[in-house]
Amino acid sequence: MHVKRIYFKRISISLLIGLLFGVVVTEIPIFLLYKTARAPKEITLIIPKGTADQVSRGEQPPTIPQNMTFVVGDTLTVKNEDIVDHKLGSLWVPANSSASLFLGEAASFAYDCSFQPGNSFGMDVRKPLTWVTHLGGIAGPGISLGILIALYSLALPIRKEKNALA
Amino acid sequence: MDRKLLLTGAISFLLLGTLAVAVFIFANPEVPRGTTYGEPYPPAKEFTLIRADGSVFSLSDYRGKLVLLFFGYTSCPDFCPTTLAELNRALETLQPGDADEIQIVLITVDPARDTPERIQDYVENFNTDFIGLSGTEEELAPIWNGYGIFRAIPGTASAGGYLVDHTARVTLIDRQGNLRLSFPSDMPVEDIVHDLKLMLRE
Repeated sequence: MHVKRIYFKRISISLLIGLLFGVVVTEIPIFLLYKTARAPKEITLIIPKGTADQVSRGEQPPTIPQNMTFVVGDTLTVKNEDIVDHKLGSLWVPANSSASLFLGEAASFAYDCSFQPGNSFGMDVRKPLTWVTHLGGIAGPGISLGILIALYSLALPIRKEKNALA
Repeated sequence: MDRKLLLTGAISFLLLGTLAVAVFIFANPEVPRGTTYGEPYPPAKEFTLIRADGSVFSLSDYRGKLVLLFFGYTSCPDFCPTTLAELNRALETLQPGDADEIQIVLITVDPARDTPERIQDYVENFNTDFIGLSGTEEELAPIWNGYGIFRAIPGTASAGGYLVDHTARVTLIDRQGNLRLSFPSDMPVEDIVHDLKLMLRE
């Protein structure tokens, strides 16, 4: 019974050390390297009234970026407040309406677009930072290291209790 | 003591698992996989064309049904036959009776070659309930514009004749005659079926 309890304690502590290690090796790089990473959300792009006129004159509409960065799982909603219909790739938005595009995979696109003077809109879709990313990053190295430490700890000799000596 | 601990652990694990599953389900309600239109939904542009049998097709006559509108042409070597075959497969996947609630319509982007008879014969190769429509370029141009359809003949002819560049998007019109969804040409059939089921439930 005493031996079992010691082994249980050692395995638990080993796994805890492993998970702490996982937290360190996952969260620090995420903090340092992926400052732009975030969870998916809905992003609205407004096409203001007069955009088609500006584009026909070869001008860049000031409130519309030439390219945008998203994460997988984002929904891009294009709200067309212009008096003419607009399109962005497969997204066709009649005047005074809105349409949404779900971005389901990481990739870089250059969509055919009616609200850019160059007729092209760049979209960079990156992998999102979700709780699965955190959990996977922590559990992967954490559990592996925890098991290794646990196996090593099982090989260590068990110290006899003071009562047993007496 | 050990058994009690094990039991407590197992129950806690089960409770946490159930909670995680519940959170996952309720935090992710079923949403369409195609491109969606926001409320207030834009009304689908009304149009009228003469069918192969001489009857008049008016979009408004199909209120109460879901209409899947696709623009293509009978000499199309790639997107059109593939899309029509996939739409037919989507209908076959639905429950019996549900397919009757959906009308598939193909409108030509090549009126010079596609007569109403030719396009109707063409769509019937995929499904006898599909409707194929054509007309003169003057009749069709406002319809193409009304649904944001790009259409151009690049001028390079092949052995089978010329090709027509066109938008390969399927537009879903709801029972009230509003634009609700559109499916890009590369959308998997199972995603189309998923969205059709969602729309049929409304």
